[in-house]
Amino acid sequence: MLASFLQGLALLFAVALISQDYRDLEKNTPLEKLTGYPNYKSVGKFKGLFQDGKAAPWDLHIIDYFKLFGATPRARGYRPNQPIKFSHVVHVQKLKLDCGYCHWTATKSPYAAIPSVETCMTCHSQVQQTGIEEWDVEIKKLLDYYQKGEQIPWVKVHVQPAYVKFNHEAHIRGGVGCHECHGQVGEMPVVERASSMKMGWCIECHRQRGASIDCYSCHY
Amino acid sequence: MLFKINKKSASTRRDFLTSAALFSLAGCADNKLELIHPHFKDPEYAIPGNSVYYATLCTECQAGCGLLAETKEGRVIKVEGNPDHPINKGKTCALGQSLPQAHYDPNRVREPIEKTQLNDSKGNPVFSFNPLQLNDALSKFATKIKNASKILWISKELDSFSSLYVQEFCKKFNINFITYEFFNYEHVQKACKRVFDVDALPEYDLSSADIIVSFGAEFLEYWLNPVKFSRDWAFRRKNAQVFHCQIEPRQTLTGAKADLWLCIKPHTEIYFALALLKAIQKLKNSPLPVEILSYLNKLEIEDLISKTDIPSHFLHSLANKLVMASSPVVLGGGVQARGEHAETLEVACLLINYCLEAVGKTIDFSSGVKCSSDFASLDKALSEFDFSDPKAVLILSGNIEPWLPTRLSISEKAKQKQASIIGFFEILNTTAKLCDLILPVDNCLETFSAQVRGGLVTLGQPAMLRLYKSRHISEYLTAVQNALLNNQDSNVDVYNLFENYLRKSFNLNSQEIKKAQEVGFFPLAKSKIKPKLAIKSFSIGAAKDLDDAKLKLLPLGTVKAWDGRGENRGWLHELHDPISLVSWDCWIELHPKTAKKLRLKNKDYVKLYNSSGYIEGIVVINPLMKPGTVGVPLGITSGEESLSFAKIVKWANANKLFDLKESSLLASSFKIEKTTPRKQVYQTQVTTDEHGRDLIKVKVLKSDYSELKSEVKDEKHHHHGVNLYEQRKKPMFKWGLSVDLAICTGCSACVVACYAENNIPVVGPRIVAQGRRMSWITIHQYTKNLPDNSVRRVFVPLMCQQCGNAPCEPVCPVYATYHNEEGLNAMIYNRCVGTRYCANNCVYKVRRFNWFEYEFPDSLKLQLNPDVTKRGVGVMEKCNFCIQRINEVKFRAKKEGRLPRDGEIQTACQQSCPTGAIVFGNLLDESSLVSQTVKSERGWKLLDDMVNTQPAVTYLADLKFQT
Repeated sequence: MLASFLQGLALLFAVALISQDYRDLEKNTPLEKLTGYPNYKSVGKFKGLFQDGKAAPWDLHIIDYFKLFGATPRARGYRPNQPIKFSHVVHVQKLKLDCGYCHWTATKSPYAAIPSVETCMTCHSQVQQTGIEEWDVEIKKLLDYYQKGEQIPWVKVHVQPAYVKFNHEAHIRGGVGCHECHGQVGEMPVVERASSMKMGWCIECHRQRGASIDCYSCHY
Repeated sequence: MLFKINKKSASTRRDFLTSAALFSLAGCADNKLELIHPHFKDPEYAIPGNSVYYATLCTECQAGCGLLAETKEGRVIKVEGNPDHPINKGKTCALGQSLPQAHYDPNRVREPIEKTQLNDSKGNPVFSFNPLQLNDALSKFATKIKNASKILWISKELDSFSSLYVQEFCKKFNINFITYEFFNYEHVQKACKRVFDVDALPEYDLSSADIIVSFGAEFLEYWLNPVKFSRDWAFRRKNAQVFHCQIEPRQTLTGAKADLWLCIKPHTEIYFALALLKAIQKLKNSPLPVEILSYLNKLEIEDLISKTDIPSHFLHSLANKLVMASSPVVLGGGVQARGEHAETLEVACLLINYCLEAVGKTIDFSSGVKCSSDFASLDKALSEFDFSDPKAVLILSGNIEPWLPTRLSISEKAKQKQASIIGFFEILNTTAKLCDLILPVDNCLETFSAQVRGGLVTLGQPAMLRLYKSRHISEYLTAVQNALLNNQDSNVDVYNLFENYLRKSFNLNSQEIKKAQEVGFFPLAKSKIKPKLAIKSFSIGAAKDLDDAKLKLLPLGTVKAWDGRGENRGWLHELHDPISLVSWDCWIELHPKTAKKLRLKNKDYVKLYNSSGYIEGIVVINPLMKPGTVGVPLGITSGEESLSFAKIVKWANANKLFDLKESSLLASSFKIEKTTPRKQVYQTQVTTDEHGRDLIKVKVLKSDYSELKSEVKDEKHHHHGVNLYEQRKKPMFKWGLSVDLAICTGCSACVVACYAENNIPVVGPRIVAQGRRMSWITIHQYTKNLPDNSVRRVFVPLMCQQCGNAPCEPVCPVYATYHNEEGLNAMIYNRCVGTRYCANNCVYKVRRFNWFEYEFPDSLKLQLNPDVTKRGVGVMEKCNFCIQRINEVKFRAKKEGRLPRDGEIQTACQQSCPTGAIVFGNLLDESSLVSQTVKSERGWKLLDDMVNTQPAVTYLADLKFQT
């Protein structure tokens, strides 16, 4: 009886935590704080548990929402705080920068590398005062990193497990646009995970496009 | 009742399972916050994720092989041979392959260190090593040089660039500079000087030789230039165009590949050589000097040959074969032949070559390669060096101490020393620990180097930035020189020094230097030397030490240890010696008769000791050695406690058992005693017997290769064509591999290459002893009795056979292993749940299970290949034909709108194989090299006729001439 009581308690506890988790997730999106950015639409916003293409049932990212035990980093809508509040909205929509200007290795290598501090400084050596106080604070942070000669410790948003090999160059050459996996990054003031990036989600696209679905294409 | 379960209110088993499942599912996901650290500044030439290759030089031995160091994100992950380099043509040996582990060695000296002596509570001296600032260390070094009364510098053989600066420095400050190598070729050089008056080592060209006679020279393992020799030998061997005879007391790897292996009494090679010289002289009537002729006339062939224990008909047939051959070559002695007549043996061999008119054809002196090792002056200088003089300074570079005989041992002499010892070291090894001041030097992958060999200057350049606060030896010396001579303007940057060296020595301008560094080498103008016979007479003294009753100690070189230089590399320790099959541990080889006499059994633990040293190890019974001899492997490990990998095994350095005199390695009388056995036996293969099944094929040729072509193939395939699986409709590729056992020398370069490429963990001796070694490719050894009454050791590199009808596939409950469209037996790690059914069902036993989470030491993590997953605990793994390389090339080809070319995809084992025994390619492409080799008359598939596995790996039978 004691055992069954404990089990019941644990179940209740778990359910309570799960619902708490959903509320947390909504709360964690500090949209209110980030007002002032133009043209924000709720692209890639969390839409519910089961809206992730035709993934197999065991591929659903339900597990990822158990915050107590599991990883929000693997869930759609994961939106970590970055060391600098860099806005893609400003850079893409307002300044009309192409993705490839900063992430230039995406077409040349398996990795779409984050730009170096010097790449940021090509513009920001000139652009230091924007007139918007919130922005200037962030630019100041960049200048500090530059002066100290340090790298910026960005937080990874699209985390892939080590046993998956994803080749950016191959996908871009194959006609897959950046947005198909990363969402409309240009409309995100804070970058968030726009797709679960579960295997079922990958396979669906591979099937549609007639790409190889051999395990050895990605797992080795 | 308290414990009565109310069925209505109790949660059911189903509920429990649900909650358990929820908990465990939640535990599956990982919760780590991952950071990205982008570059501060983008490098100009490197794109993150793509490899950058640097042409550099291997300074592990003096052969001067060119390397390509593969770097990713600024760190070296693998070294390959430089395909354009004329010496090694893209190939490497096991030692060269292990170079990244030397670079990322966890025990690198990270900054200048000063040793201070303290006394513990009992009054025993305790040493502590304290880090120093570079400038302090340099000023200490400078003051010691300034105030020194006498300076002696003992060094291993340095590359040409370093030695130029060292020698200049030594000249300026009146330093006695002596070079010494344990595997040296002093006796060969002295013999060349005596016979032809040429002060150089001979360069042998085996690519045209049709008969090779070797007196124990291990030219396929570590003798002179093993990678080049292996390639040239294999080129002739593949089609049975060369007859190879090896004469030695215990069969080496080279001896195992010989057509005729003659087991000679130790240190009597000289008598056989003299008899051969006499027989050939008689047949050829060569114009030898009168005194030599009269000396030869005095000798009786039967008399000489009786001392060697070899039947005389072998001598006569060998002499006939040599005389009939169009380009014969006779190689000198190996390590086992380094007795008191080592030099005379070389003289006799050179004279035989002269009689056979091989000099100028297969032997060449024009590249002027020299061996700078000089034991005689080392002996003299070290005996005279006064350790009690506080002003005397001894400088050491290279791990000299384990190479020195006990009577010269520095550690013994330095116990009560006043003199100071300064050392230049990469790792904190036995010799480094003797020093009062240790200056860290660069590994060859992070600095410049140059080697003049084979008519070429091979240039080394850094493939990555320095890991620690180390410097090149020339930088230290120039800085100290500047401080002592008050030169202010001279630049001490290693690149400037290197450029100066190239300008001074070879008159290159900066454009030529840049071009040479890109290619990795540049040719030197050769001066053609036509050696003339300069020797007037020679003779050997009366036979000493030929007493049969006394046991004789044989020094054995191994591909994994050489002279002990790779003692702190896990890859090399984990490698088993292909003959004794022992990894990590030391062993003692005995003939069955000798073992019976000594009352020892296989796998007994014994201690072997004499007045100068001892080793402990397992007894290995080896029928292919002379009865009455005891074989001990050289340089297995010093057991040094400051070294992560060396300390795992006990002291087992057989170098110390021998006394060196000039070029001879001789041991005084010794004893063998049984000791307490260790808990485990670090031997990796249970038996080398086939148990009556004809698993491994050896073809014995009567006359030449053409007889194989007329031979009718023995079709024993019972189940031909039976396949349980649906066949693929229109595949593009079917990957296949062929391994030519006729030219596989068991050198183990492929094994180390596989470790490096595929992030295979080093598991340590305890787990190896349990049979849980992780290597994806292993060299198996089988002993076969051939129809011509000879015993043949065959080395079989065994990797996953990628069976077409794989036994591992149907038993996997989670579909983690399956057959893919390209004929690969795929193993998907993230699907694997670790039932190990596949490994149990594998016929070849090539699947490896991760029983533990194997951690890499921190610095070695830098070597890991980012293209390959590091497998975690509970996952099965195996060879996958380097799928990462296949995918990379396939993508590159797709980008360029073509199909992968034949030979474009190279597996790691194939790329390193010095003989080219391993060929990989597409079996569906009729013109590919592998489709041709698998059709060979010698081809067969391992175990296929018994179990119908239809492997993608084809073995080509070993070849041997009937003798």
